[in-house]
Amino acid sequence: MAENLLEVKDLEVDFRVGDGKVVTAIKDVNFSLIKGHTLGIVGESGCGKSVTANTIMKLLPKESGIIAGGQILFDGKDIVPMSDEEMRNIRGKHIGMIFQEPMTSLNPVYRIETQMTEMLLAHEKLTKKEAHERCLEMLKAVGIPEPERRLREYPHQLSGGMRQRIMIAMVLSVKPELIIADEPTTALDVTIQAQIMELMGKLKEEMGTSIILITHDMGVIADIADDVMVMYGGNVVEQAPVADIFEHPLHPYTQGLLASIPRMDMDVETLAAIEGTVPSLAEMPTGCHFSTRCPYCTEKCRSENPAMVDQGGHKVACWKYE
Amino acid sequence: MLKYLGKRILTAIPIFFGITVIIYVMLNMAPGSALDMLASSEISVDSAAYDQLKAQLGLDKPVWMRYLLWLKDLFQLNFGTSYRTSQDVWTMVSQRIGPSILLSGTGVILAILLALPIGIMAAYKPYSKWDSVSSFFALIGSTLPGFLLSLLLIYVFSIKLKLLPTSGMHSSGDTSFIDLFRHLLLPALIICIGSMGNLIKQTRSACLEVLHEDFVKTARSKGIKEQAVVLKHVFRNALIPVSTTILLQIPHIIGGTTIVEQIFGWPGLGSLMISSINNRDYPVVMCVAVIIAITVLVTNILIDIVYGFLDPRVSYD
Repeated sequence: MAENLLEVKDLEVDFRVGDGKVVTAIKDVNFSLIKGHTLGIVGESGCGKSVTANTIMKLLPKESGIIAGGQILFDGKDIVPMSDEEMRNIRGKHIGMIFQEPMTSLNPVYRIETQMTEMLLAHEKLTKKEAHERCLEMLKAVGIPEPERRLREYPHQLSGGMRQRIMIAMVLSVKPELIIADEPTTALDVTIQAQIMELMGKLKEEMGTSIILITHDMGVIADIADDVMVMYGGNVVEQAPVADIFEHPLHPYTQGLLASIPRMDMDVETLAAIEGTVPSLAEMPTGCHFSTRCPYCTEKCRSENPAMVDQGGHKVACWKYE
Repeated sequence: MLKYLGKRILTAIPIFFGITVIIYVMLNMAPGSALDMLASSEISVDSAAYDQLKAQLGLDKPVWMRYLLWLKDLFQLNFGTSYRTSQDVWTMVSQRIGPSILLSGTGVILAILLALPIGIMAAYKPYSKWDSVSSFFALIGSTLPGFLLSLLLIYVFSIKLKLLPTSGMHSSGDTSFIDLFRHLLLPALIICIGSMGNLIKQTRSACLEVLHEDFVKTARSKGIKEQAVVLKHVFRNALIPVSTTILLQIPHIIGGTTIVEQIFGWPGLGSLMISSINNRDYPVVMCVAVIIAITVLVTNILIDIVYGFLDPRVSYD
């Protein structure tokens, strides 16, 4: 049995929205990540993907985000009750994070080298020269030409793709066991997207890092993920190995997502789309969160939120399969 | 960079002369002349002595000619003699610069040292005690006029508690540092409170803006100390707009704070300016105005230079 690097159990995150009101952003989130595997988390904007990722890093907004319940076991230890001090040793060193916006994720006033070595020196005892060497090595590993020159440059002197490579190089430089990539290619050109995903796949193989990849691009998931978790309205609605998801999607939402991908092998005039939008957190229906948009919605769906059922490694939360 | 600076300096020159023209003309258009001020006390109008005085001060020539003569002297760094005391203007003015810098400098530096940490903490912990302190000072600093605060503090500390002197820079015959410090304390405090409000507001809003930037989250995700996140990442970026506010205090430091100097009888440029205007002692007024104009122009160029240093995205090529 493969070892779990990360296990999330019954996680619930709430947000304070002023006037003492609280809304639930994610609830009953359960999943595990096997060492060396890539888990893709998919869903539309506002489904709780990023909240899940930020909760694992404990980077929720201080004033408003509350972990209301559940456990996050990283390497067997629960990080939910950990202090800021303890979290600092996990962040960067054991769990690295790559963000959506390479254009704004690097500090504009510091040179690339300063930003990379800051991370290295926070976690490892290195001399300046050793840190410099490590930076050069990492920039070469992510395929940046003229690494010496790039280290001396500021973020604004680099393209978006280049900056995302630098983020990846920075995060990988301390060799974390887990990388959380929150829509790492969404802000990039299509050709650059492919390069970045290829790079991440290659580095993952070489370094044996586990990845949680958050995206709304099913194509990216098909390329790189081992397992897929589909989120909707703050709940996990389906979870299965990647092949199962693409071959027999069970949840109507997953089916809808897959139907909306353009395909070369089918001659259709218009793409299928899921009608409507994700309801806001405050207006989430009491029953199944997808009930307002689901073509198979029944009375039961409107009144009761279905629990996850396991169908031989393929888990789904839908009354259709009860 | 050098080319840009050269350009900036070249454009500052015509601005400088424009300022001197405007001030010179306005002073001469103002009702009452130096002549009247002197005449009313010593010489009667319509007498031969009056005309002689008029010629002696050069006031018989038309304004444009007087301005050109003044300009000619300026190029030789000669600011003329005072109408009132017949002293060399530069001697009078130059001995006022030191006390002005001492007073305003102390006040402004104190304000910076207090305002930056308060502003940072207020942004970092909104709605906390720090934030209340910040709003309190911001409110006082921007609403309570300096003269009212001066009178209030004089009443409390000098009259009621008899702790501090009410005016001047030294007690007669006493040149010790402690005596100077006791005289400096109240006026410096008032200047400090006056500049703090704006500076706190600026620092707070600049930090708040930066706190929501993506790179701050990146910094946190690196696992570095929270203090480093706030100082190295948040404050360092907030400093770019805040530096403008700080540097704009320089003309105040040089030019003195007129009202505070006047109330506390501080022998600085500000009080000299007021008394010279009252006496229509225009050569002195012009000299102080020239000093202030140059400081403002130099400060503006300085702000550009500092911007270039603080923000690598700014390029002057």
